[in-house]
Amino acid sequence: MNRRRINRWLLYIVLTILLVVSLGPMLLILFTSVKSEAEAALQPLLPPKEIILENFKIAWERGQFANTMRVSGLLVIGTVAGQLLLCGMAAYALARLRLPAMNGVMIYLLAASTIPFFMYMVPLFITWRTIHLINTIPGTIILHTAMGIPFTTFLLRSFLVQLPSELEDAARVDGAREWQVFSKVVLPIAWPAFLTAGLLTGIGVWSSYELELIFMSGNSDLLPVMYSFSLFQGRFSRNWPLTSAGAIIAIAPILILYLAMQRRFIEGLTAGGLKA
Amino acid sequence: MQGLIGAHWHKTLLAKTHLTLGRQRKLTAWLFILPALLFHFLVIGIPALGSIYYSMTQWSGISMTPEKFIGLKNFEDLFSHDEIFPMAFSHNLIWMVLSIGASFALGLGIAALLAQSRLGQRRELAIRGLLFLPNILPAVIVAYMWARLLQPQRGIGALLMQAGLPWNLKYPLLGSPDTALVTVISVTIWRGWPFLMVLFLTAMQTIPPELYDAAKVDGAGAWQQFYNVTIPGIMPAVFFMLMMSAIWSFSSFQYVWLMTGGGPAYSTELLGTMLYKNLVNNFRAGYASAIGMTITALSGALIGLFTLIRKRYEI
Repeated sequence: MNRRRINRWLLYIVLTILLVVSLGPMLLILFTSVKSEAEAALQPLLPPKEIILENFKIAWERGQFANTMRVSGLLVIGTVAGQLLLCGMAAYALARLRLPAMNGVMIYLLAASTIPFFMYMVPLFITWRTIHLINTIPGTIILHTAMGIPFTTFLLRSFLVQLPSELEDAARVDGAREWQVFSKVVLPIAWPAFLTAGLLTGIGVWSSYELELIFMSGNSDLLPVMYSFSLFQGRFSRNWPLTSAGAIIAIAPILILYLAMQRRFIEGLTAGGLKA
Repeated sequence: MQGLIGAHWHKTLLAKTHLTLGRQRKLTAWLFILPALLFHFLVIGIPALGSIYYSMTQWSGISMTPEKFIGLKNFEDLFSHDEIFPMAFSHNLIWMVLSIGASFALGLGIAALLAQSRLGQRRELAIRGLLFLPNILPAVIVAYMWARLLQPQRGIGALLMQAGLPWNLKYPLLGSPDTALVTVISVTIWRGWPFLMVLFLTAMQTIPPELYDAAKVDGAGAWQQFYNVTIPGIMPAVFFMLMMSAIWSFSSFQYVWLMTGGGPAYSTELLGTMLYKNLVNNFRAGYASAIGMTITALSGALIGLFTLIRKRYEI
């Protein structure tokens, strides 16, 4: 009995420490963002004596968030649409329409997911520049879509495989063509999986930095949100409240989505690792 | 009579649909898969293959003069004459060992803790959701946050000193060659371990409880249950993540780039940052491709190693 209570307390202590270390930094940044520059100069990290919301307004304007969020938003929409279409079809074929050659496809996708970005980056960079797709929204959408194909296909497939196939078989016997089976029978049932995949892809594109650094940093009117923020915080590096406010603005969409759809998020992400 | 004819007709119809369905389904299956496959191959597969060629050329990547084929000279330069390469490579190794070691220890440990605790599902989900939060933050924001918090004069160190802690905590962790690499690695651990924790927790929770009951009947204590039931049960997931983490670690780039740029004094230089600098700053696209091929070769070696281990120990 005694040992159980000690274990309990140990658990609480460990969890508290972890929560403080995990969430503390964000809280400190939040504190900084609502302070005046004067107060922040004295002590940036303590809870604020006065709460000022000015910083957010100034950060929004100086950081050109209206424009960069528009750019990133377009990248998200384009990539999600492309991936759900391409990977949805491919996942359906892999899950339902069994063929021996499908194993080869799966191996290709698995191998593709281990190829490091740096392997294809150099030729891709040169090619994109030559055909003028660099620093363009469609060009970057194509890149994001392609890079996510293995992960999204596996994710959707692992979900589709679990669906009972009676409804589809019934539709087929009734003479439905395969595309109709896919769009009219499978999609209405499988939409949660597509939602999860879309969510993960969208957040990935919004958060993306490395790809944008190389392929989308040249046109200062067309900058995505994370790359633009990295410049913003460098330009105003002395003004902690301002850049903190900018950071919060930049991640606001992600945070809201996460808090609303936590379980979907976490389950979707970890499904990839468990599929092994 | 009519019934017999009807049944016969129905059977033939089904047989016919079956035949045409077979060939038609095959075609349809390929039509469904090809768009994704072709798209990926065109955009990623071909450049990846092209990289093999470019790594053997001397080429700036920008000028109109075409590349010059020079065989393996890039690799010779890289391994024998480049002073930065041994440093960057050793940093990548340190990165791999430290980040995997710490994040797996934390991930497994906390997952085990949570799996065994009787907190109730709602509380456990809430804690899981909160602990996972660092993992959804974009790299840019994480780097920004920690660069501020680790700043010697105004960061956490200064705060703690103001609170009265006696030691000199205003040490520039990111600014000293001795501590910069470990500091950046720690930031990635901070961000990365919740993913593993959640993954392993889910894996642990899919182990059938009967296995634990059987172990208890055999007289196994808590540790033995962990060793004989839990660990084998989650081993496939652990193994897979080990391999992927090792591979990914050689592609590390963002955090170093955003927090230190490879310095101070090359103490955080990685293969990834080397590649980027050679491509963009030095205009050596061929050489950069060679570095990319090196990273890929290391990944391939890791895959081979892990596959061997898996076959040998039947994981």
